[in-house]
Amino acid sequence: MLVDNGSFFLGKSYQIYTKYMDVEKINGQWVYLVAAKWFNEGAGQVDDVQFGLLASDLQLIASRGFGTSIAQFERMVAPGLILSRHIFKGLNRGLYCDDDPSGDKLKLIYTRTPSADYEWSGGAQGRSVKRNAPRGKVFSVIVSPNNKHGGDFPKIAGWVDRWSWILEDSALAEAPTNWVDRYDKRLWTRK
Amino acid sequence: MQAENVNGDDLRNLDQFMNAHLAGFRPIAYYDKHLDCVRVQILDCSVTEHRLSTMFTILEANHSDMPDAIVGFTIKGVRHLCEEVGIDTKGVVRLVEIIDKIVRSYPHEAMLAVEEFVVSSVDKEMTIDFSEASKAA
Repeated sequence: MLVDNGSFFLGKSYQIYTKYMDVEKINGQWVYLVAAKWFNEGAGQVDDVQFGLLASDLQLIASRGFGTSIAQFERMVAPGLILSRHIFKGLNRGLYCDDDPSGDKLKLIYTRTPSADYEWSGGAQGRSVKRNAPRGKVFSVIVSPNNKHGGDFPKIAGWVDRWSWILEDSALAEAPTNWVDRYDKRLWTRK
Repeated sequence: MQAENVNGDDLRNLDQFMNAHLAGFRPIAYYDKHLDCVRVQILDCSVTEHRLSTMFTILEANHSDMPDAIVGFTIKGVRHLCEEVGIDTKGVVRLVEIIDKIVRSYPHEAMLAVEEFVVSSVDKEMTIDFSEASKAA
């Protein structure tokens, strides 16, 4: 399953990823900024926006030892969110978020089938390992619209919450299985 | 190290970031405040989330030599759920206490699959610190 090895974010490869991601200090907090598409439901059009992930949240992930999640963020979420095939809305389950007991209704789900997967190997001094993308699965990123913190972070349209693989739907390519039951609605599909 | 005390170059360079912040992985249970769920994972690896029900998701390792290698699970909508089964989500709670109370209230097939994984693969003393969520940025 191993495709190749190699560290990244060094030398020339670093330049590739800065096209899709930047790190900026906003109101005293370091934030990873990621390019993405936004479906404007009112206007029925798609806009280019930036989503954020607090550096402190990525540090929390690191403190729990989840090197693979961080490698996937750097190699798949940051450069790949803009390439999403579908955007869905609403998780269809009870979810408290920012003290809103109906937080599930607002969540956005971005999905696509990347050409590769990444894991982290070797601890703090380790490296990312490129692997074949798992067959019959889609990569999903869950995003919270930046409704509550827009004043502090005006350039951020949404916050990246979570990313993982899900089984692919048998009828709709690059969509999660049973997406009709999982989500409230499909907002947008890339032509 | 707090994010406020580092510079942008440290955060841009993944090797430096990992060197400074990546802890050794140990099986873990924690509360994800963004998605209001408890996550339990026993291996750091790429996973596929298999939705068992609106309440439970099983995590399968993507690149394991073993077919269908389950390495964790998620209990979703935890604050609603804990309210229903009488668990206080303000402090530290043992994972087995949550599982036990949910099994009693929702003895369906998905719950039994999770219970089986907990019994076979999870440290019985594992705890979830719900207060940690309010400390995280």
